[in-house]
Amino acid sequence: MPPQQKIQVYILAILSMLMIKTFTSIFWTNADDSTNQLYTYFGIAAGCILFLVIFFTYYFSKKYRAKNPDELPEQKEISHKFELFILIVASCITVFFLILSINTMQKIQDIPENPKPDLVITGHQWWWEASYPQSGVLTANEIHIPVGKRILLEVNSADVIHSWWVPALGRKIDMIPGLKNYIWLYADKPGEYLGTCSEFCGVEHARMRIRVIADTEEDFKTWTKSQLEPVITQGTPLFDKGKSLFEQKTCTNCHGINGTAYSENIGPNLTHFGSRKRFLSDMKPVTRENLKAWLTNPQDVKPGVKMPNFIFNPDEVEALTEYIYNLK
Amino acid sequence: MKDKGKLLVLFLIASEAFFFIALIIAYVYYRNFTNATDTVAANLDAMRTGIFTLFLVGSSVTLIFGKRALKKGNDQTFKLFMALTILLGAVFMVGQITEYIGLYHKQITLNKDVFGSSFFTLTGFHGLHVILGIIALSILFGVSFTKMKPVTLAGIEGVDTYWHFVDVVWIFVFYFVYITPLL
Amino acid sequence: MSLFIDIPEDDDQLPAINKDSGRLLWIASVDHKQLGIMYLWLALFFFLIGGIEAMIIRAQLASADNDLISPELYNQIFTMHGTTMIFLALMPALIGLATYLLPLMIGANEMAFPRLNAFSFWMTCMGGFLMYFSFFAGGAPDAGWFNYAPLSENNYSSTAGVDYYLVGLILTGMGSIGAGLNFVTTVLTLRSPQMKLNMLPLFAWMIFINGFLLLAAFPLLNAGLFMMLIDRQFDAHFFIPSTGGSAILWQHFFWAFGHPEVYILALPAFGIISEVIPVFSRKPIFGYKFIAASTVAIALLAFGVWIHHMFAAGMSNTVNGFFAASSMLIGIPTGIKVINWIGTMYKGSIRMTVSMMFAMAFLIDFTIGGLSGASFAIVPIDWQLTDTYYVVAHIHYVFLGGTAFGIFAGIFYWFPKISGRHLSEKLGKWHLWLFVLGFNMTFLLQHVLGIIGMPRRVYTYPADLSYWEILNLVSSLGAIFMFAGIAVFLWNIYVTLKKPRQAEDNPWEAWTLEWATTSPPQLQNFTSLPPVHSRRPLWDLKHPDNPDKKLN
Repeated sequence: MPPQQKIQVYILAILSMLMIKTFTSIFWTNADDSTNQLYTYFGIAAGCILFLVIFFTYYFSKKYRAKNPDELPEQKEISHKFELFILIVASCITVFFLILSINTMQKIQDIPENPKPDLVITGHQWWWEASYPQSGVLTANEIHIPVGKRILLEVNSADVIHSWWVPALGRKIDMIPGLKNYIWLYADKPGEYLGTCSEFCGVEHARMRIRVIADTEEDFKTWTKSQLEPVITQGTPLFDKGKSLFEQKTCTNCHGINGTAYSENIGPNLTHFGSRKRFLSDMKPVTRENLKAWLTNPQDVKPGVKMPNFIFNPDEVEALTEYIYNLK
Repeated sequence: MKDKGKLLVLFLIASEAFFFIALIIAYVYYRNFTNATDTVAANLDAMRTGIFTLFLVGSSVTLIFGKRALKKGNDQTFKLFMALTILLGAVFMVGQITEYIGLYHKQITLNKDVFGSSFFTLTGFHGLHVILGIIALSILFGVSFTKMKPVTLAGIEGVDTYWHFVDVVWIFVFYFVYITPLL
Repeated sequence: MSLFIDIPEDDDQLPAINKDSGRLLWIASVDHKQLGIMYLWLALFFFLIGGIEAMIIRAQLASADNDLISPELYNQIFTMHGTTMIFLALMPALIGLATYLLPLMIGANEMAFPRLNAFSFWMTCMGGFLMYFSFFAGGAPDAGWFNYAPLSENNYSSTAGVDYYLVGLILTGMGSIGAGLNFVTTVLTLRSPQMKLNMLPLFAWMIFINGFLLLAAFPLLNAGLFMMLIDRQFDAHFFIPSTGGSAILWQHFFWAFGHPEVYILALPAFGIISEVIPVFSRKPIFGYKFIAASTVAIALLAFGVWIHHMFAAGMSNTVNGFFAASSMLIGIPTGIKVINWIGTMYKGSIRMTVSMMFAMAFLIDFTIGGLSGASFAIVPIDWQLTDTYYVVAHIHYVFLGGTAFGIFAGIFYWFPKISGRHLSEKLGKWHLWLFVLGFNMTFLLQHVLGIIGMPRRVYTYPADLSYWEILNLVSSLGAIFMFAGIAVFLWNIYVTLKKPRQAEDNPWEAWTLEWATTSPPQLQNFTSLPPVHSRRPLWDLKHPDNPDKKLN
């Protein structure tokens, strides 16, 4: 091979290796090292195969380029033994990956016979309802889990098909109305883990994002306790005005608040809403300005959302904001 | 086989078989793999429909005789058996339609429950295929009165295969929809 | 324009569209060559529309929190982009090439059922235009090209868009079934008497097997479409869980169709590549029997892998494991074909025409698509990467890098036969490089986007996620190159069609029967045929001292 071609081959080989390394190393830190490992092996196998295909396609096209237009090569096929050899190699690679993937699959997805979930999440168009059967906590969108232990998650849907996916905490699982599905979540370090709804579920599918907060054991206990505390029912006059507006203006037809008479879950549960960091399925931080903008016209902020524009006047928006923001 | 017409009909009915298999699978799925309650099955009269099934099977038999007669050149016999086939097929359809009317009066329709949806869709598509078959048979019957004997001969191959197919599909539909709820 | 027109004689050419009677003769045509050409124009038309939809999508996604278009419109655009490209661009293009070439390749003068052929074309047309009419009738379908229930049912999709989708696809599906019937019966009954089945050109063989796939897969789709139509129009309960139905049943029906459908789109492209590479390497294809046999294997296995589209739906490990095995299995015959094609180039005498270059781009880009597809058979990987941009990258590598490159290779190869003129090689090279560069620029990095967490079918994304914006921007820039490439392609077609018809019968020195007649063929394809004793009758004719092994 002439030196110029040798250089091209080396460049191609280096590029392929860089590609393999990039693909396999940007893979997220996953609770399942086994999935990471699988992808690394796959990346290596795929990278080799791709390199060979690119190399031989390019190389043959150069080496066997017709030197004059009428030149006829020998009309012979290469050995069929070669074909058989490739077939055997391909089958071996396939069996290897099949065994590995079934093992990993069973390790990841080992749900007990009568599953007792630690966390039940119901997908709604376009928010997440979360309930904790053991403690009785019921909340929406801001989801806490303790670190260091496997959490059994049960998912289902209140309307259309959604899909729960927080890459660093576990696998993806579809939330299908009428079915209950189960996966394990596991966070090894405290922190915030991002995810997203992963099945097209309508107009605001793009804004149905997830932020799971993994707490240390104590922080999780603290959070659970604070979620179970009764809500404030009285405060400043503006707060009280907001509360009565909340009841008059039919907010309670969709939004529930634990410990009160309001228990609808058509819209997100607003218990201790003020202590959440973000709202609208992780779209915006909880601040007075964002709340005001939302209450003024939800359709401007998240068009297509099910909460209509109530056309509140600015005073009503003030009062409602004061109320909701202070539901801590 | 070099008869492209017959080959066409064979492939067509193979394709349609997949369609009916899909509809039957839906029905079996609802019955065996979901907890859906079935309010339709109790209102079906397997005996009555069984009798009408015999009419449909009978029409297949008369068609076989008719085809044989045509091949031997007995035109009058052929015309007689064709008319019988069409008549028996029409009786089957009348049975189906009156059954639908009866169910409608009991408020059992497509939206009764998932079995109502399934029942009417499955039997409805089958009935549609029967009607198309009756039309085809009638056209052939009509053509047989003209001088176009070769057309009748070519046509009978295809229509005959199609009509038997419609019959066989009904046997399966009858089994799954009328018989299995009783088992 | 008189309605009483002379029927053309067999040795006339195809009627000219710019003559008075020409237009009616085209609309009323049952000639497979005219219908093939009409399919190709239809495919091009919808390809351009689908391409514009793609450009809109990429423009919206080029920056975070973009509000170029509303989410409602975005959802209609991406749904129609997928539906258009698959059902109205790729399928008609492949069926069009097949309709044109199949009779010629087997030495026949017509398809088995010319009127069924015309019916198929016009049903496809009608389905397509009906679906697009929805834009003017309250909104296009907006539940994605696979239209999952219950999102697509009445209570969540109350505009008529989904109904247009359902009826439109039922119509095009009937057209496809008609085409399948024609392909299968034509190959079985109208072959030249000397041509045995194992002597079929590989493109003809692929179309033949594809015919069976069409016949078996489309009824499954039609069943689902009718059931959903009945749900929506008559308040039935098939796929509505809240009233006793099953949402997942729709997925089963759709993907039981959907998976064979992707092979329906792939096999004819494989056939084109199997014609192009040997001719431009001046050697017979390496491993004809293996390619033919593996195609049958793929067709059978295609119906046993559909759950791999539903690995995340929560089915048991046993079910997932079985379908993982079958999905990995089906990768083997598909992948080894690449070895056969490269093996054909080995010790060949390669002419780097645009057609051959597209075939080589196919080899590389389809391999990338095939490998990313194989990664989905590894269930734990699927559990992370399904429904992300990794899938979008995969499907575009196989549909564009595979099927579309194959179609381009076929168009450049057969253009002289179909129209009597050669497409410009120079313009073709510009088209190729712009398009291939743009294509890889757009889609290669989408693998990365999927891995770092970007889901599919989102009209926008947050601005504070690292690399999302820059990767999306690069992806969108690639679309501009593709747009330029297609513009060059259109220009190429335009200037070529203005040239006089000068192509020889067999300008590429190819060997199959379509090259044994004039370019373009007369209405009656052949008045006589050369002797057919091998897979390459024209090679045998030209090289009587070194013919291929006699097969009949």
